[in-house]
Amino acid sequence: MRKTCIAIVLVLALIVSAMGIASAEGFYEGKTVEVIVPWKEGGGADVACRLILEYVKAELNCNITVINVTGGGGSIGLNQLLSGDADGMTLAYIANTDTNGNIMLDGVTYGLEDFAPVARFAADPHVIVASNASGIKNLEDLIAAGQDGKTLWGIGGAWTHWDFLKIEFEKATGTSYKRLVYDGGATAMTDIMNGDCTVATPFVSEALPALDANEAVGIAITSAERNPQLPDVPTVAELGYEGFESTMWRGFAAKAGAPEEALKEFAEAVGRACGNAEFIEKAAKAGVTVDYMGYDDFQVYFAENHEAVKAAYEANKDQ
Amino acid sequence: MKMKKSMPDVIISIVVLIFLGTLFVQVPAIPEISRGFPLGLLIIATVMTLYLLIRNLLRLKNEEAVESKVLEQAKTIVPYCLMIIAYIWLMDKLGYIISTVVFMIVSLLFLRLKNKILMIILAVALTCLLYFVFTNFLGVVLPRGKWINIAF
Amino acid sequence: MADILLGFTNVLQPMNILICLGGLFVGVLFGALPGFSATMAVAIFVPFTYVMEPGAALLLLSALYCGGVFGGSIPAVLVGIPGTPASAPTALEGKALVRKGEAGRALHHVTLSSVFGGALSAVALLICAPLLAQIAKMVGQPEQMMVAVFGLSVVIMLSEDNLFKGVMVAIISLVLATFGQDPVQGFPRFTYGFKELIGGFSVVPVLIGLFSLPEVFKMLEDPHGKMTETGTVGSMKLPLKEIFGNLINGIRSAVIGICIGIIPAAGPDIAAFMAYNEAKKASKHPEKFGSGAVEGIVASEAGNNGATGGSLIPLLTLGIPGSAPAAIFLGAMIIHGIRPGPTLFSQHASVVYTMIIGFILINLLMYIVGMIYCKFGSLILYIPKSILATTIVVLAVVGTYATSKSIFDVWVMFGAGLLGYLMQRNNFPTSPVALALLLGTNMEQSLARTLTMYEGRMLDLFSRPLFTALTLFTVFSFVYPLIKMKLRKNKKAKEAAELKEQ
Repeated sequence: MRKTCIAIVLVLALIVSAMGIASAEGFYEGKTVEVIVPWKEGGGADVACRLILEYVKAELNCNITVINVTGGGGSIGLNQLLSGDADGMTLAYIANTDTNGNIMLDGVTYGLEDFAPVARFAADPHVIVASNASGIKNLEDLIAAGQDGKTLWGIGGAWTHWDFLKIEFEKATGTSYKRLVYDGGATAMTDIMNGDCTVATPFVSEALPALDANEAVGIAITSAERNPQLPDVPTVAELGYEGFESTMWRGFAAKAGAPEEALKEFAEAVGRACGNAEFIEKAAKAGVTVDYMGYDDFQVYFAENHEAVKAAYEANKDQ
Repeated sequence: MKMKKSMPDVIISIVVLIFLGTLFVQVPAIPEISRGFPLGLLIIATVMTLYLLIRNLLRLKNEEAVESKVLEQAKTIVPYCLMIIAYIWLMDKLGYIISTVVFMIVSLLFLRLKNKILMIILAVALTCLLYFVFTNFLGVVLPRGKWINIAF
Repeated sequence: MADILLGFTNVLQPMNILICLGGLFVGVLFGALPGFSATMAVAIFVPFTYVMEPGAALLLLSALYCGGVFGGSIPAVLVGIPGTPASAPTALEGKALVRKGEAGRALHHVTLSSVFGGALSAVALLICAPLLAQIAKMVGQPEQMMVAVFGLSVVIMLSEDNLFKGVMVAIISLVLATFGQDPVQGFPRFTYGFKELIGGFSVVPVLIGLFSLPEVFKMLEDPHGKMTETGTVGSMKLPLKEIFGNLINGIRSAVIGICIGIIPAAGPDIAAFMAYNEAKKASKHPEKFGSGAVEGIVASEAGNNGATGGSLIPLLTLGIPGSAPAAIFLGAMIIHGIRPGPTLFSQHASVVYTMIIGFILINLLMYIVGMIYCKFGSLILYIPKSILATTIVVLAVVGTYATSKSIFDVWVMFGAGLLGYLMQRNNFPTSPVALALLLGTNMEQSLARTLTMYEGRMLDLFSRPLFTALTLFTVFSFVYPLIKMKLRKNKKAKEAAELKEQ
């Protein structure tokens, strides 16, 4: 009797679970996905990720938890992604320079092949700002100040996109500045406002409060087009350096080997979220420049970007 | 067991000195620009530890050995440490639920809780309570076992 | 003024009061669990606020923040394990009071002084935010460096009986704080080849281990007799005299908390240590500190809750986040289209005053919520030690895992716990470890930036008024306790000699 009971229960359980699989429409539906953000809570990356994921969650009908694993220029969080299973249930935020970790950061072993790129959702420009105390009012002044290599240029972290923007700008304009390393754009802004630092390159959201109140001077923006939040700040390109564009793109990646179907599903959900009017409005307010790139395009872009950053690093690593 | 009063400090100083030594070995690899701060601290730390060592060595000569409970206490503390080590190690392999239930039962047995029924109820109930609070309410996915895993 | 009144009416809507209460209940829970912090509480709930009205959203986040900072002190008193680093000084005194059977008294003091510190900081936010913002603007890298050095002087007071060992522990801990990538080139220092150490030691796992496991091991020292023993809560009543006796202490600590809160990169944890330090300096009975001085609890709690309002001042007035939770506030405000900064008070007056008035209300409501938690929380004391010890271990392990989801950090936690126990057994104070780890990274970063800024002209540093003032303060706070200690020793020696003569 008891055996029959157990058998029936087992069969029922099997049927229920089979139905469960059959009725589930997507890979992620009803599951809990973890997204590792390797930067601290409240920073530019964190704000952007939490915002988009809130909408991705609704698209996938799943649960998403964001974990901030900070330190090591993002390498602690990415190592954590790579030490887990390639089951597609864990993703991480990734940006321009991360795939070159093994050549740029001592002690880091991961590289391009370790990641499975998923999608890009934003490409944020930097605003080049100068302190009021410096007397720098426009790009000409800035270039003039960059002749002796003594003007302080605050960057938000060692060997991330911040450093590359500085290098790209110096190359384009034939200048050089003294590198001053902060832990984030907001910290650098503080020192711009009190005049301790001369030039900095925060993201739009980080620069807005100070620019609104005339506590700093907006010199130029590094995207190809002007930013709707800062319509009065010209682009570097329109000031005579045609083709100059340097943005920090933001995307998601999984561990290499994760099921492609799942990643495609995630990428499509990111795409739908990027088309959501409510999200676009919130993102604009947060200073996030939405710029979606789907799964297939992103595969190509990811590899190209890797080579470009690698070349830039190799050429400038002795600075 | 009998032990001189300054003996622990002597042992600690020596261990700390060895530790600081392993750090000194790694100093030359650091880029010059960021070497000064840790190196300065290392030197101060070494001087202070050496001072502590010498002071206690001098004291050691004139001291009488006194009764110490170290060995008796070690008899409970060392096994308990091993249990915690096993718990953390197993958590990675068996997942949160199994390892925690097992650890709680073993720990309560070791600490001589008399009521066996209470013990099992407590172990299972607390484990599950924590599991639900963490996963559903706080949004933390607890360790998934590498070998086997039970999850809800 | 009209805006302030409008803020009042907004806050007093039933729905908003409920939001405040709910936020507090959740926040306290986050604070009380090891591994969870006010920062995490705020971060997790930010997405929920996207759909709320801006005013209500900020009220919820404020309540979570205040509750989180307060919550850490409940386990700090009851089991000697601070739920967040900001309650570490509270644990020093609370533990001793619980052993005396005065847990109820200690908890009531904790709640009352938290409410006091928090409410005062909210009033400061309301009245003198623009003025304090000017001070915040004067704090640059050199000043931050000096504040860190100043903070280290607390070590001297914390380890009075054992000064040499205390300083030695602090220096070695500062070395530990340099593990991981350096602030300029990003070179991983002292990693022994561990990838997980590239970012250095995470502070929270170390502190969880350092404060929780030694308590467990101490319970194990007496294996046979005491395992079934339980504690007592004692009366929660406080005589009015005792409350007013601590008024000056409370005000001083809250002011310290507010000032520390304003400084970027120093939050409630540093504020609590500093306030504790000053209370000990000012106390008539500094020798009682460490063995159950209520003054210590009041100072630490008024200090860390004072920092909550303080850290919002630079955020609201300048758009500069003064702490990790404040940074998340910034993100949330921006998404709601409210841009913190000098224009905030004119453009979004209604929302801002709702938040500030709400901050006062939240701190007052915290008394009710806090007392409820204390009442139920103190039931922990009736749990037999065998169960308590087991639960602490599980919570410490799971809580550490929750901070970063890394088993490596759990091992770090265990190592720190073992080390902390061995240190305590051999009279090495452990609080300097917490202090040095909290201050070390910041100290090195601001030092490196100052060196870059003032390369070749270091003497110019003294042209910064605040820097000069802080330097003098720092020198004073290092020298003063030493002189006082010497004097007291001499006096004691004299008295002893006189006794002998008689």
